[in-house]
Amino acid sequence: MRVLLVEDDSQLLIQLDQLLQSHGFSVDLADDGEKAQFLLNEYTYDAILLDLGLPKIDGVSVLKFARAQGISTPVLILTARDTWEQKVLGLDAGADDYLTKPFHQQELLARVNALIRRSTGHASAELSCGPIHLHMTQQRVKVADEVLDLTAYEYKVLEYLMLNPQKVVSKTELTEHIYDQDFDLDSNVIEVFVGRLRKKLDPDNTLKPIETLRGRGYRLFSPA
Amino acid sequence: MLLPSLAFTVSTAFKDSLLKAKQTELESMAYALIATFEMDGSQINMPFNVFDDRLNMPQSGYQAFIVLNQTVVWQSTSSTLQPTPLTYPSAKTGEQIFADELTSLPDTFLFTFTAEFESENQFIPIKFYLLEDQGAFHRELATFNQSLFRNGVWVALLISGLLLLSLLSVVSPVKHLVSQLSKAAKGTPNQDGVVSLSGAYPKELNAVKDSVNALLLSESQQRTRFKHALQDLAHSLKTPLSVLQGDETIPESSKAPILQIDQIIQRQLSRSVLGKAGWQQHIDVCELLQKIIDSMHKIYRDKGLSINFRAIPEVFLYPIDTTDAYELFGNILDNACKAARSKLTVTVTRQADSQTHSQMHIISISDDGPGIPEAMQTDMLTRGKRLDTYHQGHGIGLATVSDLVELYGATLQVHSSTSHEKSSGTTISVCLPNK
Repeated sequence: MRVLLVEDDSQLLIQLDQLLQSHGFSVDLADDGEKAQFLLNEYTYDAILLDLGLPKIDGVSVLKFARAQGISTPVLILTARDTWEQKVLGLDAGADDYLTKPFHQQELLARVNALIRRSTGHASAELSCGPIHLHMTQQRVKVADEVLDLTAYEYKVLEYLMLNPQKVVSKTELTEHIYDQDFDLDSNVIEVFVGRLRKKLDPDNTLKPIETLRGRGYRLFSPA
Repeated sequence: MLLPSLAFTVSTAFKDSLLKAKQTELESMAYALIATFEMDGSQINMPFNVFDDRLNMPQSGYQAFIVLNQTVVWQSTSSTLQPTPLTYPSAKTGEQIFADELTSLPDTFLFTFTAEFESENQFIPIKFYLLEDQGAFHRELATFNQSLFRNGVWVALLISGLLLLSLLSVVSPVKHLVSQLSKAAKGTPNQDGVVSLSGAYPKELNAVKDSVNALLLSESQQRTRFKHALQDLAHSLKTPLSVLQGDETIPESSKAPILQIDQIIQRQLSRSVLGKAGWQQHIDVCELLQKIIDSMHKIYRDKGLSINFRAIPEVFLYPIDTTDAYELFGNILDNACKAARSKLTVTVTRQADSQTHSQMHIISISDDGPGIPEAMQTDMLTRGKRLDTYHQGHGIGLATVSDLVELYGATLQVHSSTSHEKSSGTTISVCLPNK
């Protein structure tokens, strides 16, 4: 999942970047409102973590800008302003949830995962597709009660496909959502990840959960 | 009061002037008689008819007598009464008396002059009396008074009209200023969307308007600066705390003090942001509640709560600071959402106070949660007390509610039932006094 993290405090920015990356997120960073608006114009994200007190352009203005541009990505506000007036102002401007500073890192991860789940229409943290079960919070994948050992990128690819079941996902879309902006986009790497995933999910090649649509991308469907 | 006093003064002055004229007239007639009167030894020579015809014609209202040694030695042909000189005032030689109110001669002016005439080598005092009926005098005075009254009424009406006009022209800007001040006191914004005095005033009031506007602007800017400063302070303190809390290298023993610092900051900042201004803008509480409810729908989306909002009337304007109103109802609604199993009801109603009979607005928030045990209901409004059955952090929120309720002279009622799971729940009602 690719997230945009907007925070002006450099220490907190680095800390949250490390936290999110260690939990399988691709993170783009912005330390002011202007840069955040630029990134929102250029890239598509699965979630936005937005501090309200930002230099140049404040967080509420960035939020209003995103919604005005038709960007419906879920937004989690990170705010030190814990009055209800500020919270309602942010939620009214288009945010989906808020988290008051200081916060526990696990709570932040849970909120981000919940937002992404909700935005893709999933009520539970556990995504299921036939015998394949993926727990977003625990980052654990099971096939028929057997826990799979996936690399970070393999997990990211599977998570994105499971969040968008039955949908054709292009290589470009997959690349954009599992890598951050500095990564060199090479579609062959995606093919390698998908190939490895197929082997791990379906070693006997009987389930065939990931379908390749030539020239269009991949589609995850529920194995019979 | 001024006009009747003026009319009385003019009437009195006219009467005095008329009396003086009468005195002069009778004095002239007396001198004419003296000029005509002659004594030859002990013989008096006085013609039957005198030069002034008014003394020759009966019913003319004028009469004249000449008295020598208490005896009337001559009386004019106009005289209709029998003179009784003994009852009349007597002037000393060379002196005169004018009287307009004599009991012996009602409604008659009397003028007497005593002159000495030489007779047989001695001087004999001769008294000349002139009487005039006051009928003509009273008629003239009455005519003048009627005219004075008639014209006075017109003048009074004219002056009143002019006074009213000038009063209106003076009072109108003052009334406008008072109305604008009243609006500003209620915090009603003007056409430009700011709370200030607007409109054209005379230059004398312009200075007042400018001063009040400067005061309002300064107060508003000061409050905004204060709020921003507190928000910046919160940001400056809490962001490093976030870094500390997320730092895995921090020893376990340091985590409790960090949490404590966070709670102190949260408590003190939430307390210092609150406070009502000297004048308070009216806000629509129903609109504000709807915004908070919309936010609660987002925050508690996973719980799938049904929040029913009913307001009678639909618009409820109340003089309360926006930040305070958000804190008051935001905290109560947040707690109710946390506690609720599936549904919440928010109502705004207007009721008469049973004791004071004044109107009050009641905002009630009911949830179908597990309810609060009776022993904890008092605790929940005490600063720093926490309800373990609720999520952590509610102690500050509910104590803030308690502070705000006290600040605005409102009352808070808690009804909670824990007896049966199906009928359990809590209703928190905020009763706002009419202002």
